[in-house]
Amino acid sequence: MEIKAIGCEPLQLKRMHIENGHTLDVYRQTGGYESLKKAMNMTSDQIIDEVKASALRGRGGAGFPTGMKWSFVPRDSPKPKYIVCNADESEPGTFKDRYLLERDPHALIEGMLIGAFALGVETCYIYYRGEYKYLIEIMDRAIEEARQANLVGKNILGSDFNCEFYTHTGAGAYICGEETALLSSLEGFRGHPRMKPPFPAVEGLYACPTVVNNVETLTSVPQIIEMGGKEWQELGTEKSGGTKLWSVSGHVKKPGVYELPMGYHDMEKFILEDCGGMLRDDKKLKACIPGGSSVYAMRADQIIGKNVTLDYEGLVEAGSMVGSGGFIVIDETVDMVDSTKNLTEFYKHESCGWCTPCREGTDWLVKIFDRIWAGGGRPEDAQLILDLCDNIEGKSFCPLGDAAAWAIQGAVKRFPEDFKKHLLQNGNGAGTSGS
Amino acid sequence: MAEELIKVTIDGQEFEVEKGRPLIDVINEKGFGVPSFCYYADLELQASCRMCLVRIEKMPKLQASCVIRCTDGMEVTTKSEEIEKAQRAMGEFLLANHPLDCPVCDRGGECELQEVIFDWGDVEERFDEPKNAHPEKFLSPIVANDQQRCILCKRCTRVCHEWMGEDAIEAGNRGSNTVIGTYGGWLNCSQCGNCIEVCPTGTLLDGVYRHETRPWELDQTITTCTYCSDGCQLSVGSRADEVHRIVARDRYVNGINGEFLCIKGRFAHGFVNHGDRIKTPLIRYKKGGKLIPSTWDDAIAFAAERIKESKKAGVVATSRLTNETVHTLKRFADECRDGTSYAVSDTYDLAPFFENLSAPLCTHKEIRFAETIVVIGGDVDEEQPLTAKQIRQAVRNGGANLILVNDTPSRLSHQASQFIHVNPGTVEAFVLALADPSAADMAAAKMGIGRAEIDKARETANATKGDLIIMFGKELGAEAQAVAANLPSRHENRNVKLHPLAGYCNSVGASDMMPGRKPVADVVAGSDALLIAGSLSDEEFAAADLASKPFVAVQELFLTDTAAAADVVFPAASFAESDGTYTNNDGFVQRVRRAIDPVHQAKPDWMITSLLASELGADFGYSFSASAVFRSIAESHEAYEGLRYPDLKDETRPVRVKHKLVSGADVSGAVASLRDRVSQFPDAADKITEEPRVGHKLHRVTTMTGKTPQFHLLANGNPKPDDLLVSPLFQFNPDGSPKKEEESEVAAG
Amino acid sequence: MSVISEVLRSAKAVISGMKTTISQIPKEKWTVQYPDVPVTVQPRYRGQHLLHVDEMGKEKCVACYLCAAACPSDCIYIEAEDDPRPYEDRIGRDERYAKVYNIDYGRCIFCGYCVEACPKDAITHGYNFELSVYNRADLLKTKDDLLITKQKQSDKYRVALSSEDVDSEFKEV
Repeated sequence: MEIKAIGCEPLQLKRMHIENGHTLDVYRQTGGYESLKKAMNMTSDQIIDEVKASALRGRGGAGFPTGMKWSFVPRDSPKPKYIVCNADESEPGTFKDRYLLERDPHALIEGMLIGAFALGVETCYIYYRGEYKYLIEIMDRAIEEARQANLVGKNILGSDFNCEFYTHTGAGAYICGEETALLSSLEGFRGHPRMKPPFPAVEGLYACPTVVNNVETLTSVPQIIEMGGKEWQELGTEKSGGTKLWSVSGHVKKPGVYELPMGYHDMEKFILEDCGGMLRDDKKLKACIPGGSSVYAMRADQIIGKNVTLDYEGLVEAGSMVGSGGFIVIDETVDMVDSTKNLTEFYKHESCGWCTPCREGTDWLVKIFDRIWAGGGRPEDAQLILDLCDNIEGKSFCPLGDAAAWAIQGAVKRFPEDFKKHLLQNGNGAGTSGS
Repeated sequence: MAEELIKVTIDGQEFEVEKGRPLIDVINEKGFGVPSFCYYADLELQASCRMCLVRIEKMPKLQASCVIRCTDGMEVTTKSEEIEKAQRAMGEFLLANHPLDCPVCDRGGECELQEVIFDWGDVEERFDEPKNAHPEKFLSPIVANDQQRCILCKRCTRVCHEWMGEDAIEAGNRGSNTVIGTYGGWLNCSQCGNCIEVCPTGTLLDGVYRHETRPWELDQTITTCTYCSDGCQLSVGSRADEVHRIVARDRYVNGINGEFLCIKGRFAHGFVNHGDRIKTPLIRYKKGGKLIPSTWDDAIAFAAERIKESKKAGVVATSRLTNETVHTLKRFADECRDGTSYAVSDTYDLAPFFENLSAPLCTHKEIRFAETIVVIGGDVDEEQPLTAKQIRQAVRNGGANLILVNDTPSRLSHQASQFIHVNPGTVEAFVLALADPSAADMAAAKMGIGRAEIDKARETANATKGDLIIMFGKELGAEAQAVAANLPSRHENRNVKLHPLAGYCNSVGASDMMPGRKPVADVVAGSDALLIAGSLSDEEFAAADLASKPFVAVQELFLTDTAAAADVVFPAASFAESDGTYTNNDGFVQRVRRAIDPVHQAKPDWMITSLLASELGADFGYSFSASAVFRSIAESHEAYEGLRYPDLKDETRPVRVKHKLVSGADVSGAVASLRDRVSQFPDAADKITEEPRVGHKLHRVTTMTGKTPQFHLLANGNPKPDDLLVSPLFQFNPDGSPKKEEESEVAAG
Repeated sequence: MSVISEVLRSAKAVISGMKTTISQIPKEKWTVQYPDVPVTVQPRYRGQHLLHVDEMGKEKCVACYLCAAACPSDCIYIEAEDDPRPYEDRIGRDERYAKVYNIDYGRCIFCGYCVEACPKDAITHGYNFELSVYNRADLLKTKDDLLITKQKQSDKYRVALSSEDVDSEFKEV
């Protein structure tokens, strides 16, 4: 497990290797809560302007500019306002937030406090995914420490700024990583997505203005305040500032969490050199899914020799997306039908059942993949799968349907030879494993 | 306030519409047509079925038109290749796991899924994988559930939550395993059946009508419900002179209730064709003898003879009868014999209320859009379910203030902005407190509440700009009714409206038809020949001692206690077999229409009475026509002046009777006597804190509801059977005890 | 007119009148000696209806009323009923079955729409064709008359093989 920064100073990963980095004492020794003090001497607009200047984009997957999101919150609203941290990190192949929550909880608290101060929020929620329940104690302890140090609660640091923190776990639903579903779940309802508009910034938790941000987004905020937005942005590119964590898994020698500046050059070098190269030296790179399972998979020939830069624009240009930064490296031993079948089962299992295309579409797709895997593939199945994906994409209520469609479409379109193998050998039991 | 008009372009045609209307309504209203399942007017938006996708300029992706509000300059495309593909795709997805068992499904023929797929679906079926299967099962004696037919539009759960406030059904599981289910696997709700009504497929089914016939075989007759005073419009489905089922009307072409009905209106129709109906006229020739079947001619002649012989006759009507019947009974009393006294048997005589009425009655639509609703006493949830639904929606969707004054908590009290929980039996004191501020302290003490609560309620009422609606239940005595009816005249600058929570389907009408009536006990005691249409209440019957009367004639459906004590029993026609009108608690006079021919030898009540009258020498000139009776009503009652049946034919625009308004009446006498009464209430009492179970009045087994076997199970605790796949009727005896094996085999065989 | 010429003329008339008849005598015969010999009917012949059962003897009809809805002469009357017992004890194959299934042969026009409409292949036309009765009310056939397990098949017909051509109209004579 490799946790390191490449091409920049470790910012997010600053305390990863420090013993007891999760305690307040160590956090303070390494410069913690200085940004909060600095921020509390600034006005709301100044803080938001800094965040805007930093070109920080949401790290959860959609990549929406954080400063812009904050500025949508109606500050004169008489209703209470909330900041909710989305720690429901459930995108397959993504595990960066886990390390932040485990080893640097105070950075999140500080980031949320700065946001709360800027937006006039008095209540913050941290929503953990159900499977991270074992991490919640660390956060609870950190909040308690911070409370003892008068960093959470009433009259923070002697000012008239009050802010309370609560932690909450989901019950293990992928959909609750979608911001509106997360809010429903937090309110105690079924984790179903809600209509947008109204956006959470206007009507979110308990119908009050709410900012929902990813863990990494919020832990970036103290750095931005500390360094200044412009300086932070300059670490990365013009449109996507700062550094970003990538969770690397799959067939590489050194999987782990890597911090790279935005616009890191290039993807080929990152996989084949920085991550230690392919796991088995004699097996070649076949594919890479760069942004968690929900984006198009990239073929090796889209990566090698193509000078792909690792930032939002670069990956889109190369035919995929940053997503949540879950780098899944796949070598040539993998049958893409098998891996796509696995992903389809995941989306079927995690579809919340709210809207028709996602609920029925993923179910249907799983049945098709099951049939193909059992040896019943038909030549027209590839076209059928693509058509079903097209029928899901853009018609579903929330992005889960789109994500499922992209992942499957990507595999079918870019790895036709794998599918051909299964579909044309009808009845030959092409499945290699008995799954 | 006129709505702002804006321009919206749909498929190249420009329309002026009100700003902020749901786009789907506009599209359908203008005749373009988009399909939808989950959209249901006045329920929370859902946008989950994705059928109503349209293309709107300047918006990414296709948009669900149900959640889009019209804005100025919106350009909408409803028909294009892309949209058609999406619609076909959604239809295909919905059908993927939907079993094609339409021949067995009770919804087949009126299924929205069928209709939409016919119009928008794909001919080719590409899904050839195994379907997810669930067995069809029962959720209660009345609700059957076939999960695999479900398309998860969740109208049922929304209706249960928003209309009924019961939250009895909810979606369970996730993704394609999502099913509509109940808590604990068994429905212990009021069993209103609205979930069945709104279900677009055959997922939730009527357990009473189960597998009886097919919808297109039924003759649909629009009529008015015969149970409570809300007067819901419903459609009686009959085939070959048998009533098979009752449903509400279509949700766009509807009466006052839309698709809403309660358990009684929807399911308690078993009495119409029940085998216990009286088949022929019955005569008891000698006191102490038996009731012997006879012919109409003999029975009429026998009764007329005995009435002629009597010294003083009396007529008792009941408030379940049509206006036509009550009016005919009144004419019978007036024209056949001098000095005949008459009465209406009702738990709640509204005479003092209508004598002092100072503001118009409010309609159910006005309740839905009211700003403040004060409910004094009553048990709306159980006795006037439609009113309860309107109140709930007013509070939930319209943000109305609900002030509930009652001695018993109820479902509605959870939604009240102010629940004034008074001591048992002291509800009247609240009316006194409103009418006479000087007595407020005393009233508060008797009710066991703080004075501040009364002041808070008064403040809320005073701050109301929109409609202020005052409802009151049957706890109110005559003085309190008079005072309550006079309350609006104290608030002249405000829109105060009154809503009496009357007991029966025609309480208001019977009250209108028989002015100058006496109490039932007086009439019974003061006459030696009685004509009773319907049955006396249990208390009245116990007090009346009919057996000792020289002669009693009864017009009834069943051999009730009253009928069994009579000397002549005439078989009367039920509401499904006769024409007439009911006046509901909105003051709407609504048609009752004949759905089937009278069963056996029954005749409509008014016809029996007029036959008897003509035998006694008084010809009412009805010529066997209910409309002639109604004309007679219109001619003799001021409030009904000028009305004819053709005026009443459109139940979407119900006609209001013109109750006379008395403004500025002096009710100081009533206030004083009310104050005396209130002052005699005990000072301290234990409050009722326990909320009665849902359905404690709705599920009661009465002469009429008891003829539907499911009511017996509900009244006996609605036991959950071991085998959910088989109707509980086959597994339990009517008293709720499990059937022994051999018994159940006999029942099923 | 002489007697001889009279006889000749008559004989000529008889011969010319009998010419067709006599010419047919050596040819193949088409007359069916019904009722002594069964009539051969086409496989597609539309005779009295049959209500079918499945391999376990359960009625196939689920009382969906589609036959009644399709019937142009309105001669089918059905009453459906719920049968909640397990499959083994049921009357029909499904939990819904036809308690009453009547066809009024006084009205039936043997158009076959009911067979077309049936989603369960529960009703077909059989070959029984001797439907005349002495009492008009007897034309109303109930389920007991129609069920394949109960309807007595007449021995007065023989169903043609599918390869057999019994349609004389198209036969060269």
